[in-house]
Amino acid sequence: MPASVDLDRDLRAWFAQGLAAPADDAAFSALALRIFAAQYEALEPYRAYCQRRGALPTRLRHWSEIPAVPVQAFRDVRLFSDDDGPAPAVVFKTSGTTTSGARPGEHYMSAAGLARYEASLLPAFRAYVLPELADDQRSDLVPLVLGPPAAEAPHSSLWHMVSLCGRALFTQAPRFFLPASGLDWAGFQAVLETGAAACVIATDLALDAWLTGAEAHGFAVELPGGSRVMHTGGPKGMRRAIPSDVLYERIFRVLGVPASHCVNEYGMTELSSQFYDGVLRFKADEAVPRLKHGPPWVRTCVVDAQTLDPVLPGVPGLLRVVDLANLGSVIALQTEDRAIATADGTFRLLGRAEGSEPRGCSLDAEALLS
Amino acid sequence: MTMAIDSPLGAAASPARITQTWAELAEARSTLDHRLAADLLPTLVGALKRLTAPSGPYRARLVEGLARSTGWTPGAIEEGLARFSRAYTENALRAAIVRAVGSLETLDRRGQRRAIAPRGVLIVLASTIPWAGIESLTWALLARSSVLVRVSEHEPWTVPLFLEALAEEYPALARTAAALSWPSDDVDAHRAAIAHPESAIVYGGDAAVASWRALAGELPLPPRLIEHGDRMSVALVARGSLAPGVADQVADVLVREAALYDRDGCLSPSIAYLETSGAIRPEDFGERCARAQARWAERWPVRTPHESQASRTHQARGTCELAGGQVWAPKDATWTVALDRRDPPPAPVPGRFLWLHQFDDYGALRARLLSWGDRLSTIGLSGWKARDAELVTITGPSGATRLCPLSTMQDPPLDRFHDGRSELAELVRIRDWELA
Repeated sequence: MPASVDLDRDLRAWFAQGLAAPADDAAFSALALRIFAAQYEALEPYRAYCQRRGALPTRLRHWSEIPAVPVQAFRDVRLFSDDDGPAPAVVFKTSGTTTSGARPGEHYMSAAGLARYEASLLPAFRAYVLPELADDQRSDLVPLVLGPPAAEAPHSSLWHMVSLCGRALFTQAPRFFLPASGLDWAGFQAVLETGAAACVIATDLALDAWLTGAEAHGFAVELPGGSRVMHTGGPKGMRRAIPSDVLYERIFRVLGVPASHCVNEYGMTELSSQFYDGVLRFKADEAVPRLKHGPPWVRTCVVDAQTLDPVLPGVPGLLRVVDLANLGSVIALQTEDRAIATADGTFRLLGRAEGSEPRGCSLDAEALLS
Repeated sequence: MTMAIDSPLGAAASPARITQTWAELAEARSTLDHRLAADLLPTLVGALKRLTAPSGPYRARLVEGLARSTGWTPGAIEEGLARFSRAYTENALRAAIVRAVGSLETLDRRGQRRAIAPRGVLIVLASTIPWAGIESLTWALLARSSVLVRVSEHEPWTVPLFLEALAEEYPALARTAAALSWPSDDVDAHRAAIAHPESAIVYGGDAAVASWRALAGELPLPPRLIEHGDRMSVALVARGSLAPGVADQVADVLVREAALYDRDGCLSPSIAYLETSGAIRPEDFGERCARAQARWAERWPVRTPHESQASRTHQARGTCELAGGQVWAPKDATWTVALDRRDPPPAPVPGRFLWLHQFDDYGALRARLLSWGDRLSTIGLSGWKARDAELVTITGPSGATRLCPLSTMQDPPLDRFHDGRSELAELVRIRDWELA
């Protein structure tokens, strides 16, 4: 059934306020519990799952009590509480299937759900990647994407997000240099040499591959001040983990973009919101792994891997996310990613639990680059 | 009070030391040519007896060392040791030789069929139960090859202590084998190890096995590889065992075989397929398995799962429930019984995680077994009395290399064909001697 009009309206009101939306726990819990109640009603498997845990909507008092769904469930269970018609508007699929042979996870979105997804991702991208922009202003940076256009990756939430942000937040249309036909070395090099300030958007793996080629050929430019790099994918079980500090040194050498202008994004297909380093927004000079910040409609906690009980800030464990923008599926997700929470609600991402199945955005690029 | 014990191995071996060891082993081997296999058998069995003698110098070190390095409880290790000791007899070794090459004479290079052994055999041990190393070492020694065993940094006990015991029993034979360890990322050491042997027996995960294959491929004359990569085993529980009066015992045996090495070995059942026409319904059998899991977790406490295993366990439990399955488990990740209804079913989860799947159609079960491909090692059977024809239909096309009673899944006989092949037969070449 479609999500309730009231919930949709209230959530969109939050998105419209961007990072100024209510951040207090009481307001978040109130909306989260209303959404949980709706999802409990709409999704029979989730209802049974909650009932077995004694988590009835009438009993819960705080967002942290909402039963979290394992992300792996998106492979086998149709978690589509926003089902408003015969077919979803879009199905985003997880990658990682090349190594495991398993089914991909599928995140269904109705037309309304897709609109919410888009409304939720823009404020966070603007706030953390383009924080200097005034409201309704577009960036003059040239968006250069080491990835495929969304049309070539219709099931990738990442490239959908990048295409959308490229169109909505920049004055120039985004240019894509890693289409299905392979990396366009010459094209990317040529546009870098024009001397225009740029926002390079890439997965870690694609960046690593391009930097390796650039280093081998002695290519280097110094992009104008204000240029930046948004990279994603991170240490999520790839064949080769790429430490961020090493990546930043190489980016500086080849592109002239300092680490203070390199923003790491953390997201997943099963979520509708994303997390970012606060390095640009807060001008913080942090060691890696940096703190991850999300929009006000997201909360995280870290749980013990053995018992799934919450652990105190500072103690490593598995990341759990409650993302209200997931109104159309389930809002509480148990990830396989390791993290350390801080007292102020941010977290440091430590990577995928060793031995977990490789998955994540970089794997899309890994497949393209291979 | 227990005392901390030291590993029988010293520092990590360097490439130079590995090369030097191969030279020493080759020299020692030449002194053994005149000994008959029949002479060697009692010394090998004697070495195992020394290793396992309750009052001897080795057993306590072995059990304590294994408990420390594997996380298994001493009780489970003692059980495994007792099972292996029962299997490792002179008669069993003799039978294995006969099955592999026809006769002991063949190994002794007498008569009309004469075994040509590889001069050197490298055995790489990783991700397997301890006794597998002794088995492979035994075949290589009986073939009269010199043997270098690369033991895992995580399990430096069993083979080195066996060799110490063998040195007491028969020093000349022990001198033809050596156990060394070096880090798994020391590629130079790997290259030094694989540069000399004519055969290599490699245990480990598929990725590790592939990396050894690649190293071997770099050589102008690559050694012959006998690979033991990732394998898994399953149980087929038929209606004969899903009946009041027997189901509890069957559940107990099933769980015991899965719990013995915390499912580290490839012979542990990771999935049990249950026939739906039994008097005991699959849900009821699941409860019985859960009670058995709890009992065995008290007797052989579960090793604390590492973080990724715990994460996978919780992901699998939750997903099973959401997909309409039923899960029995404590709050922590130590053990799980999960009755799953998905098709295709999910992959095995490490640790004491027992998947249950029901079947009522032989064709579907056959397809499920077939889907595991060559990864399938052993099928443990229960309740199939007088149903051989059905079993043939079900298991025929599968990749399984062993069918056995559920209760002996972890007790393969020495003369079995490991992963479908006789390791001894694979090691040697046979020369037909057609002269009078």
